[in-house]
Amino acid sequence: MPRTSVSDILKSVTTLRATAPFTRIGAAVGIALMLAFGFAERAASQVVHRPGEYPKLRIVDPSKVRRQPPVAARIALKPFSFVGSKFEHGLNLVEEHKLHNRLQVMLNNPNIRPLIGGIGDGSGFGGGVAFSTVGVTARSWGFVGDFHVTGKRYVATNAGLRFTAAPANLGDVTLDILAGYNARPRESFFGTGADSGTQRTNFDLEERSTGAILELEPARRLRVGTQLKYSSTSISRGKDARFPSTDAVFPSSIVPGLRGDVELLESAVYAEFDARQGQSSPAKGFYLAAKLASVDGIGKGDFAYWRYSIDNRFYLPLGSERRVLAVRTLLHLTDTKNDGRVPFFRLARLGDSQTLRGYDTNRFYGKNAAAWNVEYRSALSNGLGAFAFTDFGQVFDRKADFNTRNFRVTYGGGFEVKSKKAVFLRAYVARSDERTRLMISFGPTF
Amino acid sequence: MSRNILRLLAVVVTFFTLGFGHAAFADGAHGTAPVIWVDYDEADIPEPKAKEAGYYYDFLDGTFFQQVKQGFDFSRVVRKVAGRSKEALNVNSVGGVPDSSWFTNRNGHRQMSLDEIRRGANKGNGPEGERFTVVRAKTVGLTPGLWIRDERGDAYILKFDPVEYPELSTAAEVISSKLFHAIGYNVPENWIFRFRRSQLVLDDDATYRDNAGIKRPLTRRILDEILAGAAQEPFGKYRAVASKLLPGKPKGGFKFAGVREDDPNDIIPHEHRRDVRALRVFSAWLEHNDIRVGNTLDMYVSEDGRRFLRHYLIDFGSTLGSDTVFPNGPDVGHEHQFDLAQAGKTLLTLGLKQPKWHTQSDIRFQAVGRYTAEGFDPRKWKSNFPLVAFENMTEADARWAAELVDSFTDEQIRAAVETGELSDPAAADYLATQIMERRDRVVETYLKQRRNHETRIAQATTSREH
Repeated sequence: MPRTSVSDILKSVTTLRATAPFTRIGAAVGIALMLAFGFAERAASQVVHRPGEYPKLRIVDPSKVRRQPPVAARIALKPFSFVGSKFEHGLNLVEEHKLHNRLQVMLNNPNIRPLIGGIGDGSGFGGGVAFSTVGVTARSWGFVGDFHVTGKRYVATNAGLRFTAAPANLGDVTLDILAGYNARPRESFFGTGADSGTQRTNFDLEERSTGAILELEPARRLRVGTQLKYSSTSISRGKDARFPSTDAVFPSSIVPGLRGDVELLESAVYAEFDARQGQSSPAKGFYLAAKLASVDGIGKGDFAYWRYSIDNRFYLPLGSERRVLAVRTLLHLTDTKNDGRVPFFRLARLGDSQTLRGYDTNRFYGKNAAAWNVEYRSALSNGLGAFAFTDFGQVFDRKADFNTRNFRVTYGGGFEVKSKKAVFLRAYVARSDERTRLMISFGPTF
Repeated sequence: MSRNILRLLAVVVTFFTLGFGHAAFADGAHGTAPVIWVDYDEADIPEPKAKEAGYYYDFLDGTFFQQVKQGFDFSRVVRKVAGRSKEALNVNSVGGVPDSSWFTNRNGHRQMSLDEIRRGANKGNGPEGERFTVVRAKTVGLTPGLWIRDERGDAYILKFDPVEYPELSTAAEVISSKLFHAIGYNVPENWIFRFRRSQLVLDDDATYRDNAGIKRPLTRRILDEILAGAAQEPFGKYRAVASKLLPGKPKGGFKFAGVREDDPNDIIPHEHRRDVRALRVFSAWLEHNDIRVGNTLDMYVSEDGRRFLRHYLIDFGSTLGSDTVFPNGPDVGHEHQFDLAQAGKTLLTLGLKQPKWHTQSDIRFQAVGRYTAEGFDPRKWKSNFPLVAFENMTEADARWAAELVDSFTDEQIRAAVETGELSDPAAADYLATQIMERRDRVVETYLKQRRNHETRIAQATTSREH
């Protein structure tokens, strides 16, 4: 009997040249099987769902579903996917334990809340806690305080009593009686005046203070207050070894207050009118704050001066609230009393995350300072914005020193991450004639 | 001669046999499946673990993690670039989506009566009796909520409108739940429910969770504080959505990508399910911008002696013109909460070119919020967070969805809007008109023109019977 292959059978069927009886039988069986298969498949395709009768078919063949490979294989073959699944698991845990809620509650707790970030420019990153017992009981007073420390050993702490009341027509009235301690061991100093040199020095400032602040809200958006404060400040060798100590470079004769303790008594009144729409990320409106302070030395030194401060901010939407021009004017003017002097650490300063951002922190010290910020802000998406800015300003000791030559200008741009209520983070590049800085700051500039 | 006839017969038989075989294979959309109208994914399974997902999970997962993960799926990227995205897997040989624990063909296959539309998923009549026992309360989240038991012992969640926007959220919740139900999704039973404070009694063991998530006893004072945040109708009645607790045990929301590993029935990656992908079209139509894992729920149910997961859409308070506690902002539906693509465009023009939608569409009725057909482009519509399933939607998915949207008549839409019980007839009329016009936009976009209604029903019935 001749050998017959499958291909022979197919060939013979299609060409109708069967070579042997077995081949004919084989072809017939094959045709019958195919017919049966065809009808069976056709019958299966007639499945119609009737209520209560589940044919138990899946739209996808379960046997062909890819199974999850073992962990080792997943790590080797799909590392991103594996890491991702762990990340997802972590997110699930956060949600299950409501960690974000707890964190939010912790951050917004009026009685005890964490402090995160620095204590002013150049202080480094740190943290602390603030507390208040006001409102915990039915009493109209309570204890308040805070403690904040940074990696550069800057410390700020206050503690005291707060009294609250709500008399008719005066809104909320608060009286704080506080004692405080501040340590700023690496404060930078470049000399005074608009033409101060670029050599950076540093000094260590320690201040102990006690005082009282009375604040009330006589009208909507308006706050007024008065302050009385006693402070004792001592300056010593700066703790930043990268730079010389201020006392090693500058003689105390031209830097008043550099040696010994300085005791000051400050009394001030201030007012603040806030007509911004959205305080933390305003799209329109304005803000005006003014402060008048009288400062007198106690004991050694002949410190006595008046300080006038103005902070004016204006926000103009440019055709859309997604495009805003923000302008700020800062003025610090000092008028000495009877040829009294101003301790150098109380001089007006320019150069930080609020003013002349392209310069070193505290780059310019002077009796008076005038500075402007002009920022163009554009919303890019929900939660993300971009901005371009220019800052200009100068310090000056006398009115005659204020001139266009002494203006210092910086410019730059960056991005901000924000919610509808607040700006969380700003990352930007700022450039001046002296340097280019990459800055990250928490909270709004203005 | 007879030999030649036999030969000819053999050729014909062979040809037909092969043809039958081919036809049988070709019937399945993917080569093996017959016409299936029920995808049997309700087999008995062990109880899965509950998984919580909330706003932050959805934001981080959708906006960042899934984007990166999908970016590394090179075959998906290549297919997308080539314009040949993977088609959905749960599609039968006639292009339909079979009934399953996810989806049930309703108005798309048989025109529902107006009463059926109004009833939606509701089986009963809502909370019954004169006294309602408060057993739990929700103080965190956007709006307050109460868990009550009626005199029959049935449990409901009461959700309220914000004080400043009466009817906004409750109307949206009820109307959308009726329409999503008619489309084919599983939704809770919802009613507009009115009651007086005096009808509420506190259960002895009533609790609430404070802002930190700590369980505390629910007191009258806390209850009154919660109700102070809810809108009232004239004459002191509260208006709420009464949402009957879903049957079974809650096991967390379903994701828009991947499968649930502890559910053996869940074998089709969700990003490849047509009923999940097409939610993009339905969500665009009804402005369900807050569609995300946290607004879905898998319930471990017991039916006919089998226990399995049934997949629900829940929480429609942020649909139509409502953003739950206030009307939709102009950005809703136009950009994601964190939209890098939009951000890039704005940045390139230094913010000079801002999207047109920002200055469009004022709010006509406070109770409706911002919901309009003006400027509505279904293709450009975006949910709050990117969802992989939505990004995977193909033209075939969209057409299927558009046909379903097309299946809703003006009368049916008006019937659904009635269930929102808007007090101002002009507001109700405006809302119904906008839903109809947006329906037409969906149809124009994906189907070019509305089909004759009788033809559509006839086609659907024929395909179902095949």
